[in-house]
Amino acid sequence: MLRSKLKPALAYLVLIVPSSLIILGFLWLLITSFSTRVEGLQSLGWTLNNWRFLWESPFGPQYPSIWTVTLNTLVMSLIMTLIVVVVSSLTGYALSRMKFPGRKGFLSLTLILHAFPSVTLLIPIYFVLLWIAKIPLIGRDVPLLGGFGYNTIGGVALVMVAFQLPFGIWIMKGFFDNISWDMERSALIDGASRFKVWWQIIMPNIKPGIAALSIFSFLTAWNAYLIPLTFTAGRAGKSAVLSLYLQNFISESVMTEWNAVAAVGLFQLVPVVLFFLFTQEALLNIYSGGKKGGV
Amino acid sequence: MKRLFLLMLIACFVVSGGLIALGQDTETVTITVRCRAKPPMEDWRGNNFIGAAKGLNTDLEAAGDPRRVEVVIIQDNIDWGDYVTEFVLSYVANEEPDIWLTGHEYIGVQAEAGRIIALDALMKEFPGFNSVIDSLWNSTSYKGEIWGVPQDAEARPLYFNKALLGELGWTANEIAALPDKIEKGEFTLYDMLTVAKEAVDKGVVADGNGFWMRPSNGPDFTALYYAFGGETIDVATGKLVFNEVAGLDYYQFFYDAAQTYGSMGGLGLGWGDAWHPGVSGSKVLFWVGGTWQWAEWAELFLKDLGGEAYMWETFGIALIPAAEQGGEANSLTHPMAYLISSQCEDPDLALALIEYVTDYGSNTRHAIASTHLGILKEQTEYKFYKDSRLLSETLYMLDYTTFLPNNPYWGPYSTITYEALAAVVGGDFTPQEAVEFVVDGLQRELGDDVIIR
Repeated sequence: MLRSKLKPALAYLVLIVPSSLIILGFLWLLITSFSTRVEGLQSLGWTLNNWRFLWESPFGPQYPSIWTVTLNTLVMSLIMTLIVVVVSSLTGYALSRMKFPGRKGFLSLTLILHAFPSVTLLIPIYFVLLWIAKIPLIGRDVPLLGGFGYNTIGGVALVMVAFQLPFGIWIMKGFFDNISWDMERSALIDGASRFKVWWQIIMPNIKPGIAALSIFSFLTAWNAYLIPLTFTAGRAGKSAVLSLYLQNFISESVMTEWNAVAAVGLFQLVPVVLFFLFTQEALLNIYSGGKKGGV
Repeated sequence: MKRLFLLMLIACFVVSGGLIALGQDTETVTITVRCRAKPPMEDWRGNNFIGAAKGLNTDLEAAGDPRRVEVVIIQDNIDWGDYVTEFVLSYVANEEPDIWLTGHEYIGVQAEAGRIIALDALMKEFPGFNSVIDSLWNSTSYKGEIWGVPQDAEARPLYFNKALLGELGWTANEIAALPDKIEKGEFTLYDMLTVAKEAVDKGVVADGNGFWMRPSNGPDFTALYYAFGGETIDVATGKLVFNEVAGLDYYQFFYDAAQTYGSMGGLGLGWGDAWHPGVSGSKVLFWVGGTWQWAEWAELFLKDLGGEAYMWETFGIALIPAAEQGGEANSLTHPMAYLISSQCEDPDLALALIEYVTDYGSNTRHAIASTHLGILKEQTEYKFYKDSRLLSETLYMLDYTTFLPNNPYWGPYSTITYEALAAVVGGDFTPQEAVEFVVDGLQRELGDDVIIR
């Protein structure tokens, strides 16, 4: 009797101890963001002042509003997520289901590309973006994105796509590999085209994979720092994103306002949590088996 | 009905066409201004251009010039390395700012690369620049031409903690007389180390807290190299210079400070989390800093204790002492300067805007908010400048000031000499080994572009 109760209690204990550390961290973040000062988890005075960046720029009237910066980040993240998911799904399907010369070589190549640290490719990518900037229509002055060249939201998204694609292709190929051939064969026998099979038969069966890739891609773009820093001009410029905006509160030479950092950090976290809430059902299906092994 | 509608439509087209034609009498020129500024103290570096644009547009209208200026200000507190990289990358993409504020020591490298323009010819049409203190133009000159307009200046003084000196037994009069003794060369760098050691020995400050320099590489160290007779530039050739004898004395001083006197620490600390709290929190007896840090301590670190009022009671300011009795005390000024991109399509408008912000009102606003020194002749007589005690009491330091050289190779020179210094302070090099390291490093990196004396 005691043993049967002890076992789940032990399991809960193993879960609660590491989880509580993370929860304490978030709790500190929340308390700090609404406090003038804190000692541990104890607030020494409550204030909304740390959140004033929502209605006024803490860096003067010339600084872009947090809402402009958030819109930039959102557009960049959504564009990147959309392209990564679409391209990875199509590529993953082809690599999983079709035989063509260079297939294995292509797979190895994508893995090698993924192994490159992004910092080593910054300069060549910079020249590519300069070249793209000169292409009429897409290089410059695209509404919302600014374009796909240097110092544009679209350009940063494009670079992020390039870095994320190898990961996405391998993930999606794995999911396609686990879908039974029988379903596809039946559809083909019934006269469906390859595209129809991909779109109507296979894709609905790998929703957990799409959700997983979406959330990983979105998070990567949402929190990206090095690439936006390198390929946009100024943390206060027209293409500023949230991770760069947050850095304005942290300086090498003056005191960091950690309470404001906590508030902006929480603000940056909100869309991620919302995104997770909307996709968690599909995401958790990865671990409950999905369609592994076929229907 | 249809005809009436058609007539109205045509009338609309005619009226709007006329309005567009009227609108085309003026042409809007966008001038981008990029500044690095610590908020809120240094915001005027960029924000002064808002008023400047209004003034300039009025002038353009009065002169019948069809151009009108629209200013875009990009201002943040990005790290210097990223700031310079951003300018270089955006220049190639033709996305660089028209007006770029930076430290004067970057002029050499940017001028050589053709990214900025010489201003001598253009400046003749803007006599307002005659009010800038003459010696400051030296800092923005390179190869006989002026490449930038000074924006602010500062002194890098020796700060001392009056309360801690009091704990050592110094009387109020002795403390008050210290800046004067330093100015006359009667209190030397080694005298300072002796007092710092005494403070450590008596437990007034912790080990290593007798004397601090800035925690990372920067211009302050060069001021001490100058104090020991060091040179950085050969006027005739414009090449960088390293003096072995002065270098040996310079490294010996830091070796003694850290190893013999055991009173120096501070290198490698974080600025915001350790260095500023250390010096402003009365944990350090002597330290070399900048006048602009006065505003940072008052605004960000000591506001609760009374800000400036508390600081005047607790801290004292003096020149950096001479290396030997009777020698000359010094300071170092590292002026910021507005540079104009060589791809700017309307450099005359950019310079006109800079002239607007180079006036008593605009510059004094910035000087007071950031405790940088003024750059204009007779600015000390300007009512609002005079009201700032720190600015008034430190302006004499410009008479003793030194500059960094404008040379494209200053970056590697500075890095190599600092690496040797850090090794000496850490006990990894003797002073002689440091000099040998510097000579080897400079010759390897710069070859014929450096003179070893």
